[in-house]
Amino acid sequence: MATWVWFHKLASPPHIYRIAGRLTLLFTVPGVLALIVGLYGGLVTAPADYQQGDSFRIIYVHAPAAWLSLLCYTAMAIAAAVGLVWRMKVAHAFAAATAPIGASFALVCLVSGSLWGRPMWGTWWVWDARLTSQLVLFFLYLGYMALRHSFDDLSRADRASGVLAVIGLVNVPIIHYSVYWWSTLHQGSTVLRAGGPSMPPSMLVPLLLCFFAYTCCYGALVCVRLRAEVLNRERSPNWLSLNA
Amino acid sequence: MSLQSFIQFFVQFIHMGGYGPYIWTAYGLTAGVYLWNILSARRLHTSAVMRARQRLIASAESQALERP
Repeated sequence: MATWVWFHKLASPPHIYRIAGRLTLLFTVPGVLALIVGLYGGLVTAPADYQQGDSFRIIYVHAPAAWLSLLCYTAMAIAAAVGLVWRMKVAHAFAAATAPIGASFALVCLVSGSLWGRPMWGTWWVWDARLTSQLVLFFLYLGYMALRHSFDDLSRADRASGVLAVIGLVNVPIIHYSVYWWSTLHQGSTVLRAGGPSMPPSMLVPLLLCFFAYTCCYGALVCVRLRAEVLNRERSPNWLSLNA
Repeated sequence: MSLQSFIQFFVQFIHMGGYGPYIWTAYGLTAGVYLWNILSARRLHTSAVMRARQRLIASAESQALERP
């Protein structure tokens, strides 16, 4: 019963506006601290890789960006599904707030991966299953945002883009398992693998800090964007006067 | 650490074993994307607050006009 009360409270725009405001700072402080320590560890204290030399240091921006692009899409699709099933406007607002963040980090993942691939593989790009499915993810984000902007009516934009987000979720496990299902040039998982991470702690700890930092930064960014989305949708002046 | 050894460390750090251009481009792009995300989110929120305030003023004015 208490769970449903909590769930119904989330559908309330004034409540979510207030909660998002509090969470912004809560995510920002640990996120920025972890990012500074993680990047310092990755760029300065972590030793060079015995095969890849210093070029492996791109992993500290590449892998967390890849993780964030998948996390954002999953969160966006779940929120869109909740919005479609329960007709919850706040859920659609959350999905709309997540899309630009996810798209930007999918782009970081693709470009930083390409910058690593050039000296290591001798090419900027290959039509490898992992790279291609990640590119599809980037286009799904762009498609989601373009579809939203093609409607004047917000509720129709929510429904159409929500359906696209839910259908596109099928690409997320394809990206993750592509390195196991197909013979790819892209290496397998470094952290999430059977038998534990394949990195020594001096390299792994800064990487884990970067994963944590990116996730916190997403939390902070989505809270600010969600507040804007909620404000833009809300027409009731009573609570706006309290918050705006 | 003397000044000379610091400069030597700094040059090696920037050079990154010959991979400097690839590494710093990747980090520069990431910094740019972070900056864009922060600025665009703040701009979006500020403009939403401004529009909400305008709606409030318009609503208060229309209520004042409706009063006899």
